[in-house]
Amino acid sequence: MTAQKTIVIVDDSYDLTRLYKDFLTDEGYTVHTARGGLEGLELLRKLRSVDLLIVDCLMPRMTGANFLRELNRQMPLLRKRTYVIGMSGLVRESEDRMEMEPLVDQMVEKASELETLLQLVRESISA
Amino acid sequence: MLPLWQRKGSGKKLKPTPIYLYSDNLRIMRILLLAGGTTYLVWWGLCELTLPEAFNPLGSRLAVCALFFISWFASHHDDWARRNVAKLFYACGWVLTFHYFYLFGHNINDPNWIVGSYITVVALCACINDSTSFVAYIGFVLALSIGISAIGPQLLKTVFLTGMITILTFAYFGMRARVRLVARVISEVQKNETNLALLEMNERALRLRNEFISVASHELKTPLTTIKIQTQMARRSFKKGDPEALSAERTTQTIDLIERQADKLKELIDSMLDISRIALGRVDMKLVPCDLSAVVEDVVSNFSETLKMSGCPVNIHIAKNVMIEGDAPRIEQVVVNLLTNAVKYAEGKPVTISVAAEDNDAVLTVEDEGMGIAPEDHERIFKKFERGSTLKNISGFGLGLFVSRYIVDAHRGTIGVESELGKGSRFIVKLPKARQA
Repeated sequence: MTAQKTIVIVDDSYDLTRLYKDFLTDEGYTVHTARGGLEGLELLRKLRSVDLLIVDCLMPRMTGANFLRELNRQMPLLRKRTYVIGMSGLVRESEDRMEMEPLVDQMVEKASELETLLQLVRESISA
Repeated sequence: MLPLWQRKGSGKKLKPTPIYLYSDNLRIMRILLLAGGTTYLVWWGLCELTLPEAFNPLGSRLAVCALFFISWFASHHDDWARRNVAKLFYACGWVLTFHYFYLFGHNINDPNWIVGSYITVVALCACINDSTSFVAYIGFVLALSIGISAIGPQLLKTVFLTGMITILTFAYFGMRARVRLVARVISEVQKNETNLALLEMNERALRLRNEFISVASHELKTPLTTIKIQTQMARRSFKKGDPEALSAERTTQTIDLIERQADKLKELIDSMLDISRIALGRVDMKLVPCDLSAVVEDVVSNFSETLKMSGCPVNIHIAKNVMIEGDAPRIEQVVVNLLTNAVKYAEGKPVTISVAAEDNDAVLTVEDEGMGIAPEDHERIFKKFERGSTLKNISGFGLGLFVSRYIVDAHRGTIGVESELGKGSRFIVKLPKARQA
């Protein structure tokens, strides 16, 4: 296997993030998690290089869209190099979701199947 | 003043008032002034040509012409003239009427003058727009007619009576048509305003409902997804024969997680049920003496795990045995809602909970040092499905405070917030103390 791919998950749901992390770590990825936008920015600043970024849509203090705008502003190079998946449990027509859509490479429903998540991650990283 | 749709709901029927729309009135009056002046000039020329011998005083004719044209001209350049264009028009009309009757009195045997007088008066009458000007005008014409009939009694026998009847009829119908037209315009405007307001209300309600459905789906999906992923993870571990999969630690962790998420789901569904109960007026509350201090202490101790997870240091100042007459589970719900909000909006910042007894009230305060609430949102956050603009990105149905206010109201208490953006919030609940036995 080549060098481990790094995934960052920014989501305020503690339990779900932990489960995603456990699963993807099991699958051989290096996973970092942040519980909000500010924490996410801090984390990305430290990591410098990320292969995949998964961002939740609704988070306290900073929405997914605002987080991505900040990321574009503060770390444009990192943003360009990183594939970004927006995850949301919101209906398609929701304002928050629509606001986030143009800022991500792919917008998906929150994965409730491990297989779906794994496939999504594999496809995104090879993209 | 209340908005239109609320006034309608009060049982008072909307009655359109016959008033002019200023801009329309100005336009009509200008046209009439110009038409009046021009018609009179043409009439003057025709009479000069066809009746060279008639009684025809130049001064009063010029005065009538000047009044019409100057008024028209002034209405384009002077604000006072614009505001009073209707009065100017009536002044011109009255002067013209007087002038015609004056000429008519001196040319009674000439049919041209008679026809001219009536046409002018009738045209003016048709423009009369309300009952006051109608009465004034008729009074004016009558007085003049009586004066003229005194000069020449033979007039009454010839054209005066039929002429007066024609004038009165035209004046009446002219006024009525005008009033109806204006009333219709006004009622249309009011109807449109009402429809627009209702449309806006509906659109807002629809938007709130859609937003609620979207947020509800998000809120319900998150714990469900977590449970689903957790069970799949467990199955995977079993399949792989992971020796740790069945360890006490891992199993407890899994059960805890599922329980937490199930609690979250229950809480969300409960608040949705509360809303429908409130809407149907079916919330049962048994107000019996209960110890507010104990209720709050219980909630805080049950909440300790959540508080720890959110990193909020807690300061507790609970006076002992503060008794209220209340429904303990419902009061507990209020405390849970307030604490949940504090944790949500002030993650990692200190939260202070206090219970104290005042003169007649038991006072519960939950204070945080979070993002705070803008003053314009202080009332709105207590409404159904409402969350302040700054709170939009926080999870939740926007029902907690609505339900809390309902419960507090049912206890004859009050709930309010003191807050400023960026400076934290303090929610104060006052409940009447239990009467001493």
